[in-house]
Amino acid sequence: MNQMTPPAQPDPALPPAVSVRGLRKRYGKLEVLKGINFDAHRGEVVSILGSSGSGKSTLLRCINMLEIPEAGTVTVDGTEIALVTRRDGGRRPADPRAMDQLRARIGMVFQDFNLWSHKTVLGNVIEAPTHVQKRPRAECIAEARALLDKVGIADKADQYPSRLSGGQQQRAAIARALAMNPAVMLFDEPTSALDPELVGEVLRVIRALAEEGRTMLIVTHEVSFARDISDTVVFMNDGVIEESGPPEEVFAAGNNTRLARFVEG
Amino acid sequence: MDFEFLSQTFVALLPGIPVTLELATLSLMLGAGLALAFAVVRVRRLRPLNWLVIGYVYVFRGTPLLVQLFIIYYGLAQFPEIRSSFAWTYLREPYWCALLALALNTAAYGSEILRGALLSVPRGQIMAAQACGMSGFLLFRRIVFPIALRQALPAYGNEFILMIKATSLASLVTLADVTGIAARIIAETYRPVEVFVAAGTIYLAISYGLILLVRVAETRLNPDRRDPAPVAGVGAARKEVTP
Amino acid sequence: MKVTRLTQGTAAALIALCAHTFLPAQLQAQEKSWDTIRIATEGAFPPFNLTRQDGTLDGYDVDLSNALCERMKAKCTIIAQPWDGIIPALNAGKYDAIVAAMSANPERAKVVSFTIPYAAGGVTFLTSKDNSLADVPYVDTLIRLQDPKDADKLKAALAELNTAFAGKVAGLQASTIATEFFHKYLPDVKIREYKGNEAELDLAAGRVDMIMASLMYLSDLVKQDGRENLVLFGPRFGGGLLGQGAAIAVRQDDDALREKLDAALEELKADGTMKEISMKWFGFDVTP
Repeated sequence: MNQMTPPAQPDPALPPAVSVRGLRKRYGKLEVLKGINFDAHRGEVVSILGSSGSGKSTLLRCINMLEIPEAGTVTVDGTEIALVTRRDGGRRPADPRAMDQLRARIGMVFQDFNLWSHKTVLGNVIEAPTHVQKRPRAECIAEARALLDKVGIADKADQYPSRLSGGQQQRAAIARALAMNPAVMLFDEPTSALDPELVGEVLRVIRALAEEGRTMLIVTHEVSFARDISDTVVFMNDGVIEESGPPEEVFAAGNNTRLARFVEG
Repeated sequence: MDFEFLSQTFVALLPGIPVTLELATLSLMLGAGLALAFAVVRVRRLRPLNWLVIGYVYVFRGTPLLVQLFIIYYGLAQFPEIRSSFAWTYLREPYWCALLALALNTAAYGSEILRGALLSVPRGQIMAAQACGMSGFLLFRRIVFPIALRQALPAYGNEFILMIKATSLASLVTLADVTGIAARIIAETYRPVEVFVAAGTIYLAISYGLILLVRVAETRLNPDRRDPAPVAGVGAARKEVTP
Repeated sequence: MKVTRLTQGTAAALIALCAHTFLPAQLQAQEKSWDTIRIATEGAFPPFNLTRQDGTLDGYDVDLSNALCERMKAKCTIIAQPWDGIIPALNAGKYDAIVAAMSANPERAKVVSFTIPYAAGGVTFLTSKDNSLADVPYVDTLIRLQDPKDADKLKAALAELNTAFAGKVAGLQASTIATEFFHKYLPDVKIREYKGNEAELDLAAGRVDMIMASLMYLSDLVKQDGRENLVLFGPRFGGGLLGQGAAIAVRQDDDALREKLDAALEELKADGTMKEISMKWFGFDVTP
């Protein structure tokens, strides 16, 4: 990886890449998010830590509206996603097309990769650029090959996902998300479904992206990795943010017993 | 068994093959179109269409095709309103009645196959498409339908073969398909055994050709399944972190 | 109409196959005596034979069969068998005789043996009153095919029919003498073949313009409720391939049975029993 480029610094002068205010989400009686506020600035790498059920994955899914929050606002790259209240009390996007356009600018990487099984790796990567962004196919293919080279699986371009290892699939999924040239990348526990020996190759790719200065939100259990690459660490517990700040401050000893217990794991 | 008579019969039955194939092909195409529409209505639970489709599938799967054919052919003809309507141009012809009955019947079975296939599309792959900004028809056309089709193909291949054989009922409304010609030869010769053996052989050959076609389509659509796929490192060791 | 994916013809073929395998020994044992006889009829061709709502068989054929058995002092069972498999199943040994308004024509005589005829009336045509064919008058004289005396009449009648039938469709029951008649004498007329008597339904629906069947059957049909719209037309044909009338069919090697039936038929004819049964079912005498 390119060690010569210094890590990009967040720029607080610009509006935040992602801004979340008063976010609440419940599944039936269970309230998963109890009023979340946070900002991620351009070029900032934010790691979201927390135990299972703390609401961190739900928070990530609310940002690109794969889950619709009951209350609160999400602003991505200066655009607020307008929600209107349905007759049954839930909410839905006011303009589905605007939501699609916004989602196209948010790259998402899933725990289970979720590559499209009927398409080759290359087919997965060029699908959205050609059919959502409607860019010329040849241009998309060239870009896709460059991205696959970047994540180290250029030789797998014509393979189907089922022929790839988990680490290769996750790297293909990262290339797929990058192909849309997103304003922000969301990683939802990107290494949790991988065999231990395959975790490293995926983390290396994510680290390289962090060093490029991309805005990224990473939900993860890899504490040392988070400490290493993050500008900001957010610790969630029971639907609220308990700690938030630069890793050296958040991980300072004795600050939060729950966090300390989580870190010791 | 008189082999000379058998081969004569075989030759005499050949002109019925185009009728049989045409009925099967057209009814399957029409039926598949309807089936897809019905399956989408069911999966999306579009009310009140959803209830209509449930009722339709219940009736057409719960009654014999022969009854459906006779109701369409003889039943509808009882109503003077139908006989004086535009539809009579088609309904007065046994061919269109048979085609309609076959298509409506296979649509009921096909819609259930496709519904199951649509429901089996992994939620995560749909979510990944939504996260890329795909929705509505684009999402259906590019992601959901192709995955569902691969899932549905083996079961739908079965339906193809059932329909080839079901076309034989068209002979009961006077069509000269393979079975229709066979019935006529039996009427003239009073030798059912040889004639049915010849007709059965023809159906067997058509079905076998169809099985091969479906197999080719399956291999084409699932290039990754051509030989056993090495799956490594997926979900084998899912780490659960507890405080 | 039985509702099954197996066509009735297929069923008949299966029965025939099974029968070939299992029956010969039983047949041989029975060859001489004929004190029990199994008789088949169609059960769907009133007034010759019909099935009552409770499933019992009735009609001219059934009454005649019972009268015959009484004369022959034989124990009889009468069963219903769909028309299109009725001859194969006889030859397969499923039963011993067919009493089902079957015309004794040369084509059938190649595969079965016929008794002397027990009903004669010839075949004629039926159409609906709103069809232009209804303008062709009904002629109540029998034209005998292959009878030199009737040759001119036949020629004239066929010429007239060929003109009247241009663009018309005839609905015929498959494996009947009517079908053979059209094949041989009116080959240019379009026909549709039905398994049973559904051609009547299509005549009512207007899908076919006419049907052709035995006079005795048709003259009863037009008397039924709801059939007021139907009318007989054209000449009446008999003889030749149409046969000499309805007769009982038995297997070709069962000469003893045929002779026994012939004798009994002669008796019924002579003592007026046949006429009596005929009057009951047709309202006129069909005794040949």
